[in-house]
Amino acid sequence: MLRFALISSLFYCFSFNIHAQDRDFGISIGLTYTPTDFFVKAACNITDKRFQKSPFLALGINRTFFQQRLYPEIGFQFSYIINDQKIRLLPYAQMSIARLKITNDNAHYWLNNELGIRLEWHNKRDFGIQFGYRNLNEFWSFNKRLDKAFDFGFTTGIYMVL
Amino acid sequence: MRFITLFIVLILLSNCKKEDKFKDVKIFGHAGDGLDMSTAPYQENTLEAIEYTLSYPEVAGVEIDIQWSKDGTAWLFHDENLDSQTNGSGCVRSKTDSELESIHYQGVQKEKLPKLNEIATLVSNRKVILDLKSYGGCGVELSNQERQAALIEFNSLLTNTEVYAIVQDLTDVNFYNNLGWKTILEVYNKDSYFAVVNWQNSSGCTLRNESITSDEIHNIQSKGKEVILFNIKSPKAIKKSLKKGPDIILSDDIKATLIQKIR
Repeated sequence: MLRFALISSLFYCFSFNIHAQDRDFGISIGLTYTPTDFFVKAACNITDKRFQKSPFLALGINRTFFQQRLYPEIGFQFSYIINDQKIRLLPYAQMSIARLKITNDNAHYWLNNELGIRLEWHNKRDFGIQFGYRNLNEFWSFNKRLDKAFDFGFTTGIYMVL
Repeated sequence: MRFITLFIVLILLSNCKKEDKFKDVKIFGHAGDGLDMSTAPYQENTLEAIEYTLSYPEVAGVEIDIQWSKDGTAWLFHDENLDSQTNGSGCVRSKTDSELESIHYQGVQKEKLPKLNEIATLVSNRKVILDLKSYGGCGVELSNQERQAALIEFNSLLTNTEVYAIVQDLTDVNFYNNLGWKTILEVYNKDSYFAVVNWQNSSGCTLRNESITSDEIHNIQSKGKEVILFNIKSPKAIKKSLKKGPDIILSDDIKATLIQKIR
């Protein structure tokens, strides 16, 4: 059942821009390292002049694929294109929420705020890397405990313009 | 909107009822919330790490590393030298209490090094494993009596706490027995445990996960002794170690271990 859900979710994400002909729309697939897990990430990138808005969905690789415990993260990234040339630099701000059910009574939620910079090789198939510093707020559902931490995140991936 | 819908669907799918598949295996946090783990929210052997791990009701207790200062106070710290992990230098044994009080871990949260006595309230009604380190070659060599005085003081502060002491030899086994503690021998494999003179006086042994098989664990358990496994970091290693059926696992990744145990 979980495998079916994962395959469906990936298909669902890719279906986003299947019919979009505008070059300002695209999808990107990436691999993100964070202190909590490695994530495989699919994002929809909407570019409006120099601003880029990217809602995304990610899945924790270790937990979801190796431990069969779904670890999704959903978020939104807002970035600004400093120099719209072949090599682009985009500072960004990102907010996301992730959830991991650990036991029957205890699920953990992470509310992450991240600031960072993205470097892109802008071509027909873009390639980019991003590095950010994030504030992690880990919330425990069963005892309302909150742990706050700061750490870095690193993402690499490709961006496809449809 | 689609992402949000999908997120909610995925959450609902992950919400099915779980049950404990390895009820006889107790989970302890290794060095608090994991040794040398980037996934751990706090530095090892700190008050924050211990409190974090013990917030999971499914976790039986914590394992911590003990060293003594020049003044004879027991402190929590794993490595021999302070250099690589803290803003201090040298070894714990060469430092006075006031020097150690000013030292903190490197990293964003800059956690302080705790004294053993400071954890007494945190571990009440839980279990604690003390890995009594005996590094040589640096600092002041305390007498056995001086080291034991700190442990006696710690024991007097405990409320309903079950204590295990990890030792390299059984010289002081009677001292630990008198405190009501269990004595656990640190060994390389099953044969080296049975090769120790008077191994029967110990409560069990601790060894690396990869150096013992399931049959060997059952062999030790059949003699009434407990087996504690450590060096368990990846999901694969966690799964393997749980299947071997030890008494205790010192987990470096609490979340991953609980996910594997309660499925």
